[in-house]
Amino acid sequence: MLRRNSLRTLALTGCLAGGGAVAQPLDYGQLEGLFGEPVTMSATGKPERVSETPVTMDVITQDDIRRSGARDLPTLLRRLPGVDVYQGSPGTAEVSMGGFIQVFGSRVMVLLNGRQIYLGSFGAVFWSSLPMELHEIRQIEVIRGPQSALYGFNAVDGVINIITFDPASDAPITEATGRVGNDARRDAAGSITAQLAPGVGVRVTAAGDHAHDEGGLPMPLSAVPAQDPDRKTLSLSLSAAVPGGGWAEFEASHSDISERSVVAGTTQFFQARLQTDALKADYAVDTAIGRLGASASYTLYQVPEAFNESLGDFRLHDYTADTQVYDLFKPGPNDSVRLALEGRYESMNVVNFSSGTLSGALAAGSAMWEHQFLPGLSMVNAVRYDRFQLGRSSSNLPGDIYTDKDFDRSLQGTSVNSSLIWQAGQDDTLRGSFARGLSLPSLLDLGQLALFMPQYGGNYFYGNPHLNPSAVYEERIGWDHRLRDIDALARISLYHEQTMQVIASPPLTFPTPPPPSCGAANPYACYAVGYEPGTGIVVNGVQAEIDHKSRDGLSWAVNYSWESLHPHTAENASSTVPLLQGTLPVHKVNASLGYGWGDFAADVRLFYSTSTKGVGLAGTPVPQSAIIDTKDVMIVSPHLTWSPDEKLSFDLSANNLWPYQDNLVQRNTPTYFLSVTARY
Amino acid sequence: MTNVIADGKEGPQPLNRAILDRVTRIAFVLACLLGPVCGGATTLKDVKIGIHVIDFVTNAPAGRAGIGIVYDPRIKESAEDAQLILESLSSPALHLAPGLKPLLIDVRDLDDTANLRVVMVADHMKAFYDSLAEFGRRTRTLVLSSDLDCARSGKCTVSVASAPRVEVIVSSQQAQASGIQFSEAFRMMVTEY
Repeated sequence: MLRRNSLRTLALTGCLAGGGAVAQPLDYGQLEGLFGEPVTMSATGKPERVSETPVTMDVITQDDIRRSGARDLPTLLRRLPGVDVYQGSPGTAEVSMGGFIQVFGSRVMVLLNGRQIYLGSFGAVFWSSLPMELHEIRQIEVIRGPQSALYGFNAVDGVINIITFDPASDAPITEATGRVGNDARRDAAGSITAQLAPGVGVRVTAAGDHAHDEGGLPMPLSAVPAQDPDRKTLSLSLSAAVPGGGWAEFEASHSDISERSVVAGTTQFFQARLQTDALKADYAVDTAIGRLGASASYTLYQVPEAFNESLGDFRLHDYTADTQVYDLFKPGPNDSVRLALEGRYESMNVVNFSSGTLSGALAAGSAMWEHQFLPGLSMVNAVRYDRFQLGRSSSNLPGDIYTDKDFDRSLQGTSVNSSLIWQAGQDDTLRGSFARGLSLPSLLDLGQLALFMPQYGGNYFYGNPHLNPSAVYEERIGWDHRLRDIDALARISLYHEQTMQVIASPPLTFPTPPPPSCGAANPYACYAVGYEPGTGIVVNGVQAEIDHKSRDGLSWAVNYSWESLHPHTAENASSTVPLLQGTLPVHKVNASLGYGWGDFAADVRLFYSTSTKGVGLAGTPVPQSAIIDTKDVMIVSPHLTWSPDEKLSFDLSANNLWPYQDNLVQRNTPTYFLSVTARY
Repeated sequence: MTNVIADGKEGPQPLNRAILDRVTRIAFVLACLLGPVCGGATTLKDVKIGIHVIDFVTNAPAGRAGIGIVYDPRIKESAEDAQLILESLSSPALHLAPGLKPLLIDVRDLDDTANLRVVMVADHMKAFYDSLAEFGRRTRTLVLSSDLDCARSGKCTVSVASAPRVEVIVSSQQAQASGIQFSEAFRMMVTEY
C-alpha cells in the first residue's frame, strides 16, 4: 500500500463537496423490476443492467446493507475486493482502491445520487459528513479503474456512486433507528416519506451520532487531544414527475460534524468542526433528440473551529458550484450516444501566509458511444476533455515565495475509456478495457497552504502552483461466470495500472529566492517542503470473488485481492517517492458466512490483510518520512438480527473483535452495539 | 413460445402435409437445440415482465384499459396458455395497476374489440402474427409476446423472455408503424431490431 506522506496533512478537516458528475434521473425501481437485477448509469452514463456493464463493478444493495451489521459506509466498502480502508480515528476513515491510500490525495471519485462528494479542493472525501443514512440507500455502485472519461479529473482508481431510494417512485421509507453501544455510542436516525400528490414525493431524514474518542496513541512530537466524534445531519429529498414526461428532483442537506482526524502514516493530527450545506436540482425529459438532462448543485462548507499544532486555530469558508447538461440518445438500434458538458467553480481560503482565496474554474466536454456488433458483443468508447483554470487572489504577505501571477494558469487534459464486452452464452461474460485517466492536483497541492513552521526547525511548507495533472493508464481483463448448480456468481479481473507521476512531497527543497528568514542564524528556515512531481508507479493486481446470496438459508462469499506496487522512472521526475521503498505485495481476503431462518439471520465476516510496509515520520529535528513495518490485520465482525414482524427489527453487531493497529496513531478497539429499528 | 404451425382451413394436401409436418418437427427440434426459440407456455415471470414493459410506453392512448389475451380456441395449447396468462394477470403478486382489465379474445374476434391498451399473444399463434401486426399498426396497440422471434421478425412490438435470463426485444419498425414510443432509458436497455 502506498500511504502518502505529508505535510499536507497539516491541513484541515472534513468537508463535503458539491460539484457534479453524472446527473442521473432514472427510475431504478421500475427498471430493476423489469430486468430482475440492479441497473446502473455509473459505468457509461447510460442506463444498463449491472451484468452488462463494460466495467468491473460491485453493487451493495439495501438487502446486503441490512444483513451487514455495519453502521457506516467505510465498513461496508472494506468488504469488497481491492478496497482499502484506513481508520485514522473513531470518526474518520480513508477509502481507496488499487493499493493507494493517500490522505488528501484520494484518487477515488465518490458521488451521492450523481453529486460529487469527492472534494476536489482537498482531494478528499469526508465520509462522516455525508447527509445520508444507510437505510436510505438503494445501492452502492463500486467501479474499479480509471473512469475520467465520464467523471473527469480524479476518477482514476475507481468510482463509488451511492444511490438512495426515490421518494416518489419507490416504496416510502418511514422508519426510525436507535443504537447504543460501548464507548458511549448513542446514535439515532429517522426518515419520513410523504406523497404530496400523485407522482410527487418528499423524504426528510434526521440523524445524530455520538461516541467517545478511543484508541488515540501518544505521539512523540505532538499531543493528541481527545475529540469525541459527533455527527448531526438533516436532509430533504423531493422528487416529482413533471407533466410532459419530465422528471425533477431537488435535494437539500445540512451536516455538522466534529472529529479528531489523524493523517495516514504520520503523527499529525487535527481536530475540527465542519458544517456543510448542499443544494442540488436535477431535471430530465425525453425529447425528439433523446433524453435531455440538466443538474446544478451548490455546496458551502465551513470550518468554524479547527486546531492543528502547526496551524494553530484556523477557520475556513469554501464553496463549490457545479452545473452540467447531457443528451442521451440512440441514433440507431445498435448505437447509444451520450454528449455532456460540465462547468464547475470551486473556491477556498488560503491559510496562513496570504489571506486571500484560491479558486479553480473547470470546463469540460465529453462523449460516449456504445455500439453493439452482435447480440452479446458490444464496444464502448468514451472521451472527455477537461480544462481547469487556476487562480489566486491574495494580499501576498511577506514570506510567500509565490505571487498571484504564479497561479494564473490552466491545467488541461484528455481522458479516454475503451472497452469490449462479450456475453458468451447465458453464464459467462468477458470484458477487456483500456483507460487513460487524469489525476488533478488538489487546491491543497497547488497552494492552499503556505506555512511557516517554527516547531519543525523553522522551515516552510508550500503548495506548488506549477504542478500538472498526472496521467494514469490501465489495462484490465475480467471474466464473470455464473455457477447455476450452486446459484453463485464467480468473478475475476486482472489489471495493470501505470501512474506517470505521483505528486509527492520530497524530503526537503531549497526555494529560490530563499525564504526571508533564511540565514546563518536560522539555517532551517532555508528549507521548504512542497509538492513536486515524483516518480511514476506501476500497480499489478488481481481481484477475485465468489458469492451466493440468499435471504433464507445459507449465504456465503469469499473475495481475494492481490496488489503489487513498484516505482518506475518518469520523465521530469524530480525525485523518487520515498514511500515506495520496501513496499511489499499485499494479499487481502474477505470471507462471510450467514444463515437465515424464520425471523432470524446470523452472519459472521472476516477480513485479513498480510503484513506490509507503511509510512511514518522519524528523525529530528525535521521529521522525515520513513518506512515502518505494519503488522497483518484480522477483523472479525459477527451480526445477529431478529425481525419479529415487518415493522420491527433488532440487530446485535460487533466489529474488530480483536483490536488492531495499522498506523502509528490509532489503535482500533472492539465495538459492540445494539440497534432497534421501527418502521411505521 | 411457439413453433408449431397451426392447422388452417386452407392447408396443403395430405401427403404434402405429412412431409411438411415432418420437416417442421425436425426444424423445431433443431431450433430448440440452437437457441431459445422454443419453450413452453407463457410463465408468470413472462407476464410480469410484459406488464412492466407497458409502464415504459410514453404515449399510451388515454382511456384504454383493456389487456387483450389473444388466442386461438381451436388450438388446445393456445387456449391453455391464454388461461395461464389470465390467471397470472389476476395474481395478487403481479400488482396489476387498477383500471387495467384483462380479457380473453378469440383471435378471430379481435377486430370487434375496442379499448385495448395492449395485446398479449398466447402461445402457438405464429400463424396469426401477420394479422396481429396489422391490428397493432391499425389500432396503435402494443402487441406483446413471449416468442422472441415475433419481435425479431417485426410482427410483435415487443417480445420478452424471463429464462434463463430476462430478455426484452423491441421491433423498432412495428413500434414506429404503430405510433408507439418508449422511454429513452428503456430503449437504451433493450435489444432493438
